[in-house]
Amino acid sequence: MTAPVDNDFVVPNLMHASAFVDGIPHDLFDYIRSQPGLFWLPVEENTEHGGVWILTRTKDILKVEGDGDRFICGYGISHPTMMRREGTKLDDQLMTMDGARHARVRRVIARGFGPRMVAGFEPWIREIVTETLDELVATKGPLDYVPAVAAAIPCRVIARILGVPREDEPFIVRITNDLFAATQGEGAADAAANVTRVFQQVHDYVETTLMPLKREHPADDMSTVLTQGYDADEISLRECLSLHQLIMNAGFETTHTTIGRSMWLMLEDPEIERKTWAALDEVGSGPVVDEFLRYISPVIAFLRVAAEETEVAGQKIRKGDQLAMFFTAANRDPETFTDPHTFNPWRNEAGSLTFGAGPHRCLGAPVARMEVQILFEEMAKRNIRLRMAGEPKRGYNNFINAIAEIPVEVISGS
Amino acid sequence: MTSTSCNPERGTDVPKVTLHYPNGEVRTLSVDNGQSVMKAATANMVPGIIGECGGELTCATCHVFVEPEWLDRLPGQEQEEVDMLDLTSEEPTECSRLSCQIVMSPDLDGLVVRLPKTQR
Repeated sequence: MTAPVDNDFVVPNLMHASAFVDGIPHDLFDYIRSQPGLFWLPVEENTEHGGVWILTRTKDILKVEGDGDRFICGYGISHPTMMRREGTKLDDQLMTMDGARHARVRRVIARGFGPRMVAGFEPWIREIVTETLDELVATKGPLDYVPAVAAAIPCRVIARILGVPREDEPFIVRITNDLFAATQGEGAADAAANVTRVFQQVHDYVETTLMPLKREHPADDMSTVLTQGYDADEISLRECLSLHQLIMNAGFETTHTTIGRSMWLMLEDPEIERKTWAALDEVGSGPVVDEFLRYISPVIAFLRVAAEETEVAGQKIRKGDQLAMFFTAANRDPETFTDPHTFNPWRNEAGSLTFGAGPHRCLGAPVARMEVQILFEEMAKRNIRLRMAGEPKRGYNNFINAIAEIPVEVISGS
Repeated sequence: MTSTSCNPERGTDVPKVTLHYPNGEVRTLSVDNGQSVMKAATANMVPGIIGECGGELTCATCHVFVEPEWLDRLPGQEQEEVDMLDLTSEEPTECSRLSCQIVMSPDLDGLVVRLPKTQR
């Protein structure tokens, strides 16, 4: 049952943030992917059978993600907040719902994120990016790119989509950072309690401030849609509150990681920077951003639990087994991408799992792509160039390829 | 213009659907009775129909334009399908359906649909 472990590799606990302190262990994932079947990682905490199956291939992940009946989310989607099967299901969150309930709730929120709807966001997202860059180029001396740009853009975009008043935007940033801190580092042992505490702050704000505001002043925003959905009995109060919180967190964290990490990569590797500006000119922002999304893989992994005995990659899976789908590894799968470890914005290969696949595929993908595309377009147009002005710092996280700090200095641009 | 059958080994009693692509390509797809067009398309790796959600009516990535003469013969539309057609990548028309809701039956043999340029 246990896959053979090569002596050259000491396999760290991939369910723990400590495994990602120095970056994503791509050589380890390459090794695991090259072995037949699936790799069994022994993990005692929060598992039913003392371990987790590690999935690194595109085709294996597509099989699991595409089959929401056999591989379910209701017991959690990441460590350390996985529940044993006798534990309470985490079923108030869209991402941890399954089946018909997931479909019903997802339809309510999907209204705000259809491709044609999102196309209409373009002018005001460009306005937010322009204002953010105006402030960036006006700054003299070193600054931290994370709050200045990487956090500022998605935060304001999400606030606008939800309809959060401008003066409350810092609250979204604080709450998102608190949520990720809650499951990582020293306090991780009490992860579930910590997460619940942060959720409660969001729920209090939405229920006592935002929903009454939207009833009094309905607007063309998601909070109005959700408030009306609740008032029309389409979703429960808990579902309404959880969806607000999901949009805040999911819309912020991954996009800010992509914006920050792409700049970090450019400033660290002149070849990546050269390719980025050249490709922006030749093929446009779409392929460039898609390649950054593949190369960075802001979400490291999602988990599923087998609802019945089944099989993946020839490996027997027991009911209750956990399967960790490493998007970051599948995005470097040589069966899907030629020369997968090379940043190549000219590559003409689809199949990135950055946004996942199947019934839980990221709803916000069109918004996220648009934000990052517009940022690159505007930086190219204004000839904005930066340089590293200190040591960048990674976040401490096993779920998101997180960044903490990127000290930079503007060297040109208007 | 090419014409390919995805299941050439199968008998002639399996109903067929003709898919017209925006680039002029035409394909024939065998769809078992009781199976949706989306399921048959994704099972046979036919391009142009994604069916991301697997038929739960939450993604709108299996959008097709049904040839007008076939519209009345199709199964009726649930409100969920009507709602999800608002979310298609390409603007829907009165001929728009989500192919996960087109369940094959003998009288739909020969159905003709056109595919949109994009699904998401």
